[in-house]
This record gives sequence, structure tokens and C-alpha cells, in this order.
Amino acid sequence: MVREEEIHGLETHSEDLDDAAGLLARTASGDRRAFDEIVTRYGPVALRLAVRMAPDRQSAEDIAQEAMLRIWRRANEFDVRRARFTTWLYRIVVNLCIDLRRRPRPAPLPEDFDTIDAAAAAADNLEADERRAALLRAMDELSSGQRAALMLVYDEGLSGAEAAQVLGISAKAVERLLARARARLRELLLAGSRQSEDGT
Amino acid sequence: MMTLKRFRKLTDSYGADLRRWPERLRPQGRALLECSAQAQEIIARARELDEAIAAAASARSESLWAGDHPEEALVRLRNSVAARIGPAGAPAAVAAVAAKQRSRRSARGTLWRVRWVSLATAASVAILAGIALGMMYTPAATHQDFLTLLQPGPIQLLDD
Repeated sequence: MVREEEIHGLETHSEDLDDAAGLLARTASGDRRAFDEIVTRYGPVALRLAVRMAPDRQSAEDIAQEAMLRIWRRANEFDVRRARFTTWLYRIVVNLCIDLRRRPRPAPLPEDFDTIDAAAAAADNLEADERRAALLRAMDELSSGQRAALMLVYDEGLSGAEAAQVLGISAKAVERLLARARARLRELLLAGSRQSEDGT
Repeated sequence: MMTLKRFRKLTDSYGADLRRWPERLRPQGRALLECSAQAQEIIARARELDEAIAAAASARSESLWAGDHPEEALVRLRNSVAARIGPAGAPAAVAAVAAKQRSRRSARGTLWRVRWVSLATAASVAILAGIALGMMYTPAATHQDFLTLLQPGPIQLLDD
């Protein structure tokens, strides 16, 4: 678990200083409009991240909501001159997702629950569905840390050093997480596709 | 020049797109890629995995948003956050500042009370000390003197 307060003391970023600083300062003094602007502007980022890490959409929306509330409650604690606001947001969302994955999950639904009518499913779509299911399963197979590192570097375009700041680990540790994630996905995704190409 | 081992290790982590690599290592990676067939092969294999990962990530997002739209989710987010904060809500920071102000006001009141009590106590002590000193340094009247005092004195007018 990474403490959100630890983000202080990192390098200065200038791109979102003016906007985020102003909005956060106003939010800290109780300005609801400023906070609504933060939710409007950064809510989609929180949702996008949460959707990629949470087990389902409802959990993802709950996480995004909780992340926004944390910003509301702790707006005065964050020094935007010392770190990028989005880095703080990433960290909050990733921590919430990791917390959620640590909690015991309810028993999965039975295999035949709400399945698509076999007659309705065209034969040519079957392979695509299987492939899609395999892709979804592969992402779920990754650990929270691996998934977070992959999401931050591959989807969000953060550098290894920036992802390290968000996760509170070294850049080397991020490299190791990425390498393990890729090795696991290679095993799951490419081995599967080679098998289907071979007709096995 | 970057070694092939290092090149492979970086590709294993960051994939085929050199823009994801640490900035300082990109020029060395590009240089090796231009002259090494093995490096090109490593990148080709990594690209295959990159595409599979991108497809997996996209499949996951599509699966979760099926039948919905992210913009609708944003509306729900704004509404739910507003509801959680409530109309009279204030961030903890604001509440803390208000509490601090209340505490300061209360402390100021207490200070005034303490000053008044101290002043009153000092005045009382001074009065009591004055009475005590007065009693200590005034010669005590003897029993006889006291009776003499009670006797009527001679009337001066008749003596003249």
C-alpha cells in the first residue's frame, strides 16, 4: 500500500500548476463550483483508470467516487507546486483498486448464468467471443501491482519514473513488474493464439 | 553502444515502442535497432505482444462499458459525489480551520477570565496583607487603657 501523503517532495511539474492549484485552493476553502470542475475534468481519468483495474463497472464507479471525495476532504494537504495533480489522483485510484482486490470477493456466478442463447450466437462469432474471453481472463490473471504498472505506462503513457512515483516504488521495481506482466501475458495470450492457429 | 542483453531486458519491460523507454536510453536503443538484426527480431516479437495487450485492455474496457456510455458514468459520478458531500458539506480542511478559529476564540475568552480572576485575587491579597500589617504594627491597647478610653474626660470649658 502506498501512502498518498508520500507523493510530496517529488519533482515540480508545471503543466497543470495553474489550473489544478487554483481549483484545489478554492476546493480547500469550500468552493463547491471549483470542486465540481475538478470532478468534471478529472472524473473521466479516475473512471478510466478504475475500469481497467476494478473487477466490475459498479466497483469502478464506486472507486472513482471515493477518489473524488478524498480529493474534496484532503484538498488542503496537497502541494501542487511540488507534484503533479494527476500523479496524486493516479495514486489514490490505484490504492483504492488494490484495497478492493484485497477484500474477499463474493462467489462467482454459475457458468450458465445469463448466457447468450446458443441459437442466437452465430458460429463465426464464437471464435471472436472465445478470443475476447481469453483476453479478459488474461488481464484478470495479473497481480494488482503488475496491472497498475502496465496501465500507467502502456495506457496512460507515464514514464517508468512517473509510474514509480505513483506506485511509491523504484523505477527498477516498475521495470520488473512490467517484465513479469508481459511474460505472463505472453504466456496467456500468445500461447493461446498459437494453439488455435495450430488447431490444437 | 547498448548491449543486446540490455536491449532485450528493456523490451521485455517497455515493449516495442521506444517512446515508452526511459528517455536517456532511447538513442542507444535506436542505434542498436538500426544495425542489429537480432534487435529487430526482438522488437518484432515484442510488437506482437504489445498488440495483444492493447486488445486485451480494450476488450476489458468495452466489456465493462457494454450498454453504457462513459459520459453517463460521469454524470452519475458528479451526482453521487454531490450527494455524498451534501448541501452543507465542507471539506475537512474548512472544518478544521473553523474549529481552530473556535478554539482560538475560546482560548481568548479563557485568557480574559484568567486575567480578571488573577487581578481580583491580587487585589484581595493586597487588602488582606494591608490589614495584617496594620494589626501587626499598631500597639495593642491594654485592658486599662481601654477602660480609660471609656471614661468621660474633664470638660475643658469649666477649667478656664
